[in-house]
Amino acid sequence: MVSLRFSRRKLLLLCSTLPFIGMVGGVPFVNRVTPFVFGLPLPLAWITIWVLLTVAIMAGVYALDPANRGGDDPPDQRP
Amino acid sequence: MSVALLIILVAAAGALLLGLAARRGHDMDLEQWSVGGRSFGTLFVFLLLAGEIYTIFSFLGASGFIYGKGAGAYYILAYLTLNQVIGYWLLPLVWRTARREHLVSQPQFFVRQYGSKPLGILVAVVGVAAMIPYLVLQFTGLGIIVSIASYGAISRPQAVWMGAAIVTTYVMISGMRGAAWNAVIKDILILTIVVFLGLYLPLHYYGGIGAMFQAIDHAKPGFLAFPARGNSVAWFQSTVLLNAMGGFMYPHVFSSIFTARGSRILRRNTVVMPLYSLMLLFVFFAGFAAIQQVPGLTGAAIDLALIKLCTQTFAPWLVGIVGATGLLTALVPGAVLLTAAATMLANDLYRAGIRPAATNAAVTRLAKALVPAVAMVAVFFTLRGGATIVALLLMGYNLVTQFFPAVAFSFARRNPVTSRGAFCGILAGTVCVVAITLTNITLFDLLPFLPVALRDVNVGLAALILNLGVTAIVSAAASLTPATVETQN
Repeated sequence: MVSLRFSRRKLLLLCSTLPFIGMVGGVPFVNRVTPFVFGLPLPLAWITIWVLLTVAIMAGVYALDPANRGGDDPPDQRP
Repeated sequence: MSVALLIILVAAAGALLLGLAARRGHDMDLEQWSVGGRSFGTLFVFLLLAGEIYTIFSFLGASGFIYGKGAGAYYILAYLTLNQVIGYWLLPLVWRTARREHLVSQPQFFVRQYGSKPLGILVAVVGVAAMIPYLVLQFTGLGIIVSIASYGAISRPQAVWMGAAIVTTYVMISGMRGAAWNAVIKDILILTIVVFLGLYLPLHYYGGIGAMFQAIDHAKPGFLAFPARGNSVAWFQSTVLLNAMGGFMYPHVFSSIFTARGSRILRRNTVVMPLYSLMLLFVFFAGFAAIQQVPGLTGAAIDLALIKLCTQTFAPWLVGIVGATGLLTALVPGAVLLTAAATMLANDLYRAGIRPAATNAAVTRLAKALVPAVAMVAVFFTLRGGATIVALLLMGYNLVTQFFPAVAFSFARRNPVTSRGAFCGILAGTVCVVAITLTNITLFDLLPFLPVALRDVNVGLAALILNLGVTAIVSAAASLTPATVETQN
C-alpha cells in the first residue's frame, strides 16, 4: 500500500505542473489584444481562465490526495 | 474638519483599539506574540496569507502599474496563482517541521534543517534586508492614500508618522493577534471597495468594461498585450516563475504558515486562494479606467492614479472610506512585517549570534523594544522617497527568492545540499541582486550575446542561477573531502 500511495502523490504532483504550462507556457501564443474574450483583452482573458482552471485542478488534487484523508495531523512522536 | 478626514481618523482609532483588544486573555510569551500560539484556524490563516494578496501594493501598486505599463501588470495575477500551487506541496512540510521543532521564525528553520548557526544568521540578515523595502512600500502607499483622500488635510509625512505610530503600538502589545484581528475588518472593506471601483469606474466613464478596453485599444494600440521590449513576454514568464517561488519565502509569510493549527488548513487555503486573488481583476479595471481620466502621471506618480481618480469621481464621504481602507490595507501587512522583523532581530541575530544564554522572556522583551526601531528605519526610507511601489516589491522578492532552493532541497529524502553549499549559494545570489539593483543593470548588459527574445528576462533569474551553481559546486566539494563532511539533520 505504501508504494501505491507514493505513486499516486507523484501523479498528483505532476498534475500540479499543468497550471505552470498553461499560464507561463501558453502566453506567447495568445499575446495579441484581440479578439476580446468576455470583453477582456486576449492575454488577460487567457490568464483569468487559467486561474479558474488552476482552482479546478487543485480542488481535484486535494480531493484525491491521500494526505487529506483520516484524522488531521497526528501529534508528533517527539516529546 | 472634512467628512473624509473624520472617517480616516475614526478608522485609525478603530484599528488601534482592535489591535490592542486582540491581546485579551493571552499571555504574550514569544510563541504567542510571534506566531499566535500556533492556534489559528482556517479563517485567520487564510486572512494572514491572503493579506499578501491585498496589501497596499495590490491597491495602489497594481492599479498604478496597469496605468503606467499596461499588460505587464498581468504578472501579478499569474504569480499569485502559481505561488499557491507550489504552496500546496511546500507549506505542510514547512508547517510540520515548525511544529515539531517549536520554531517561531524562518532563520530557525534553516538552523534546524541544515544544522548550521551561521546559515540562520545569514538568512536573518537577508530576510530583514528584504522586509525593509516591503515595509517602506506599505508606508509609501499609506502616505499617498491618506494625504490625497484627506484632501491634503493630513500631509504625506504626517500620514506616514501616524500609521507608523499606530502599528508600532498595537504590535508591541498584541503581536500577531493584533494583525489577525485587523485583517478581518480590512479584508471585508477592501473586497467591497475593490469590486465597487472595478465595476463602477469603467461603467461611469466608458459605459462598461468591454467598451473601456475597446476605447483604450483604440487610443493606445497594443497597450493591452505584452510589448516586444520592456515588460515583454519573456519578462512576464521569468518574473512569474521567480515570484511564484519567492512568494512564501518572505520571512513574515513563512512565519504566517506557523500560525496554522493543522496542515490540512494550509492545503485547503492554497486551493481556494487563487479565486480570492481573482479580485485583482477589479483593481486592474480601475487602473485601466484611470488611463484616460487622469492622464499625464509618470515616474513614481503612477501610484497616484487610482486615488486621484477617486477624488475626481466621488463625494468626500466615499473618498474617506477609500482612504480608511487604504490605511488598514497598509497597517495589517505592516504589523505582520514588524512582528517578523523584530522577532528575527531579537531571536535569530541577538540570541543566536551574540548571547546564546538569553532567556525567552529577555528575547521577547527585546523583540518588542525593537519594533519602534524597525518602524523608524522604514519611516526614514519612506520619507526619502523615489522608487515606485512595484520596483520596491520586485527587489524584495528577488532577495527572498534566494532562499527557495535551500528550503525545497531540505525536504529531499537525501538532501544533496550541504549547509556550506546553502550558505555560499544564498550569499552569492544576494550579492548579485544587490549589485544589480544598485547599478540598475539588465541581463542584456551582462550577457550582450543573448538573443533579442531573452533580453528582458528578469535579472533576478541570473541571481538565482548563480545561487544554484554556487550551491551545487560548494556542496559537491564538501562531500568530496571527507574531513569537512558535516552532520546533517
